[in-house]
Amino acid sequence: MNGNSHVPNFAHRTDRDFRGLRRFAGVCVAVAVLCGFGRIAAVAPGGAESATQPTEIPPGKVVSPTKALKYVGVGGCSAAACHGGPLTTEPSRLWNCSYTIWASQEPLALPENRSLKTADHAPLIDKHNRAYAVLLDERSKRIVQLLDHLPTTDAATPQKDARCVACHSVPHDPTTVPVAILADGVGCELCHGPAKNWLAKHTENRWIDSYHTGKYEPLPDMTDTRSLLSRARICAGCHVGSSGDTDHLVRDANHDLIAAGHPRLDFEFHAFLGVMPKHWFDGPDKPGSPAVKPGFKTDRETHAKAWAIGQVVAAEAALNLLAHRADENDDKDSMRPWPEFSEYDCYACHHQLDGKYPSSLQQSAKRRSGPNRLGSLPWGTWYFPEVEFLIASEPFGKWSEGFGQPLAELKTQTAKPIGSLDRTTIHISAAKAAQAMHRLADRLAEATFDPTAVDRLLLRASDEHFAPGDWDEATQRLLTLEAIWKARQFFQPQRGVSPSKDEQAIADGLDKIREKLQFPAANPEIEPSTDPRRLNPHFDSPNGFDAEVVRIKLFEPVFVRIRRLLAGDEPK
Amino acid sequence: MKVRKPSMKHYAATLVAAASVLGIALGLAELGISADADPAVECPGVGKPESQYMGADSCALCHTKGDAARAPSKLATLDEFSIWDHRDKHRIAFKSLQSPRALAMEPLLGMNPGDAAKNRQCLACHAINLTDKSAGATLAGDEKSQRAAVAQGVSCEACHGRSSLWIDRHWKKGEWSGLKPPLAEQRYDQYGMANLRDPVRRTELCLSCHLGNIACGKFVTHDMFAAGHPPLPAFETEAFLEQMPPHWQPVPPLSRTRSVALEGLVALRASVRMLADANRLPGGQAGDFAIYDCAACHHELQIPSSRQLPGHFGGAPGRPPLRSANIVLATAAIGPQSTSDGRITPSPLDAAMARLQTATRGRPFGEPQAIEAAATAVISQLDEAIMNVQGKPLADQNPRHVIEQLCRAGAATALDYESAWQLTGSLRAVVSDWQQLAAAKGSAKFDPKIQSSIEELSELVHFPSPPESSTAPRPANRGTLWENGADFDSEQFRKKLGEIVKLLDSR
Repeated sequence: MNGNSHVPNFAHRTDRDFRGLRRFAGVCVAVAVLCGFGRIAAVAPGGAESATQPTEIPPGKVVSPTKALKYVGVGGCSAAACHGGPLTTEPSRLWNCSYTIWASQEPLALPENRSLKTADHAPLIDKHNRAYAVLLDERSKRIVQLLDHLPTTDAATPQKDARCVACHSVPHDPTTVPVAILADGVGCELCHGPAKNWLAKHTENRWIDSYHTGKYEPLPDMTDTRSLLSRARICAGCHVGSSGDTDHLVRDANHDLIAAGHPRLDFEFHAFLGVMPKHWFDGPDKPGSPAVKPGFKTDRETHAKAWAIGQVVAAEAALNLLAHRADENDDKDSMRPWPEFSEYDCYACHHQLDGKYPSSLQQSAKRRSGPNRLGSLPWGTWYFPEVEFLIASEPFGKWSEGFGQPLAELKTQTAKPIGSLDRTTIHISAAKAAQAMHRLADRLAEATFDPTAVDRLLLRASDEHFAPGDWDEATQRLLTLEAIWKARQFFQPQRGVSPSKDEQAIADGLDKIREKLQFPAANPEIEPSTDPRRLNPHFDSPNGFDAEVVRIKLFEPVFVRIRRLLAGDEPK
Repeated sequence: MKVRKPSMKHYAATLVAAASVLGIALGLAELGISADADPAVECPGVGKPESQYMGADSCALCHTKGDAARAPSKLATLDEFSIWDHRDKHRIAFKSLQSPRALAMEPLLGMNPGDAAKNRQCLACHAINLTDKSAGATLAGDEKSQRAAVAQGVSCEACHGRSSLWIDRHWKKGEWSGLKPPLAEQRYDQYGMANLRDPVRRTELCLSCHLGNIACGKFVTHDMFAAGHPPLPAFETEAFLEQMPPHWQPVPPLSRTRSVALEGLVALRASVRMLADANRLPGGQAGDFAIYDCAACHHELQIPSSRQLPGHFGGAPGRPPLRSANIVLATAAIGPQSTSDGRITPSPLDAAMARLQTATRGRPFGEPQAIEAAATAVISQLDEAIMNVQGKPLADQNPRHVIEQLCRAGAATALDYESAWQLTGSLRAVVSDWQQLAAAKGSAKFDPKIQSSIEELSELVHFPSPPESSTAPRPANRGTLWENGADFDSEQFRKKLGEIVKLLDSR
């Protein structure tokens, strides 16, 4: 898509998603009450009939975030002497252009060998800066028009809609936030914390010294973004979703929103980090090279650790969101839909029926026994398979025992036919499973992903019994393999020397899987635009995906080579 | 739905049924892949509670050789069994339960190999309905003849009713055969023979399998479709009858027009009953997606998507909508309502349907209570509309008017493939009625242009051509819904309907 086979995006998918639409998670019905349904009453199309439709839900109570507005806007960060300085690739000066990198509207053209990326991450636009801007485009208006039954797209104002700004900008009631600050999109403070109370303090030498000597402590309201764990939790708040609290509105990109045109969410922390131009320095990208400046943490484990933490944090966020969706007593958005289809495998339903018998699903159906039996909705196919894999593979020996139990219990409850789901039980079990994930994530943050652990993960990920039930599982496994493979390459002492035959074949094999898993263009005859801002028409589902074919033809050859490589049996 | 009170006789029959050798002899599987029949509901084409299935061979004794002269009535030519046996696809319905596809479906449904051919729910539509265990849904004879009777597929009694009470009576002159209408009809009711000349009963009977009837134990569930059961395409009585080798005598003129005027109402009523019945199943209708529009979920996702345009979801993105089949025919049957000042208003049915649609969208799969109330209201509207049409004499049917109503209703709706297919079937039947009438009266009013326009519509929906002769072999499968509907162009179809309306107006 963008000509760089190493970019871990899903071609057009992630391109598009990062443009910000992905972040259009909403408070849905809760705040619809404020800014949607209130409006409907005034402009209901079709007169009284449609205004009385039960789809237009009677107002539930809205809990608005109470944390006082402490946002100053990106203008507080962007001075040339602060974070808006000239672009540089000098690690020790990155802090000076972190705003500049975030704000760039063009792909950053940086010297080939000294790019901001660690080794193989291509420079891209940071789409967070456009998160608000996309709310002004036709597609966003259409989404709100459809959700709220508005007569025209012009009647829709996503930029003032709490369901939208909850992720696309400051997560507060948009009527209480100055438009100038809202318009920053996902600006500095959305990740680093509202700066009113720390803006001045963090420029004082005392704090800067503490930062550089490693005794760094976030100031009040400031978020610790250096730790992978805390970073992943920030991302997941929008990219997975979250129930509302005193800090932010409910963020829920549910099936209604997706059906109206919002992209589905499919967050994977390690891959997402890879497509974001880094405005920070994680550490040297070569093992053994000296830390750039004393006090800089050299995080050599980024790939494996980001993958593991990201998986578990995403699962935790997804479980908390499910607990919220299932909670009948939580009246923040009391009329949110239930059952909630976005909990399930999108493509279990969303595939064309073409009359061919047997279909690939029917052919591989024997593999989908139990909860995922044919005709049922498989739950949690995106967020949980790799977490289960991580727990089962025990990269640190007997270590994660017991963490998977609450999730397993929840799975027996979500496996019931959708009409027989027990909402209360699911609410309780999901919250319990989320707590287990929280503890697991905390534990992973303390763990060391040394070469032994990485090899162990790689070997287990290449297990011959791996049989993806659907596109979600296949894609998640690809992302796992990519992350762990990178982690392994990092540890190779002969790194930089030309790779062995098997190593090259594994890298090529992973690229081939990635290519195969990308969704096809809607019309193969139209040359896709290379402008990352243009939305190319494409399928948003893996048209023609066949799990068995992908397993046998693509995964298995890579697995064989990985197993051989790790066993040291590579033929000379 | 008529609910009959269980009588003592009924309970006696229940005991007989329980003790019957049938279940044991056939080894009927009790897998509960869908609900059993509700004994309190009168099912189309079943017969009296205490009556038994006798098997098609009992009918064959008289209805095989063909001897119209010997027949006690003009309704029969005594070759009905042979026609069905040699050329009717209903005859081979049981075989498909032993087909490779059925064998492949069994494990996916948790069934043991070979169980499909023994399963009551499968047999209910592929042979005879034995799901009504508490009533006298039993089969006479020893094990061998029982097996043979079931293996004959959808045989005589599957449609005409269990025959033990009438098989020895229906041919007797004076007692039944040859009686004038009101008396003959009384006999049907008295002994539980299905009066299939009544278009309402006939349509309900066909629909009980071709659409489904949960209360009567006939329901192709989503699990069955997912395991490989072919889709049930939208049903249109006249079109389906046209594909059957007729083992009945020609119907009087205008009968088909009346059938069209009634069938949409009957079919919509049957589908709303399905929704209401599914709503009462454990887990509600959310428990079975088969009630809903297949293509609403089953489509590739695309960006940009024509689905994400106003009006596409009936104003509720993300909530599964009901199937739209049957609605347009019912709307056409009722026709537009105009107020005293000449404005066109929605009919009471339209309003009731809108409330039902809304009830299914308040949340995914709707609120069960709202659905119950709204479905009841729609059914009572339809009951009334059906009575209205039935109350009119046959001679009052006006094919030209019915064609116009059908075309106008179709042109005004966002027609999907299934509805367009149904509409085409109805139009074909009425236009042939009109043509016959015109030919008989020597009237010049019939415009062959209309007929050719309807032929063009038929091509747009890949309508099957009628069998070439009455002795043609069993018709081929007409392709699945998905294959035939893949290239359907709603705009083009509706444009053509508009042209027909113009043609009619110009005369």
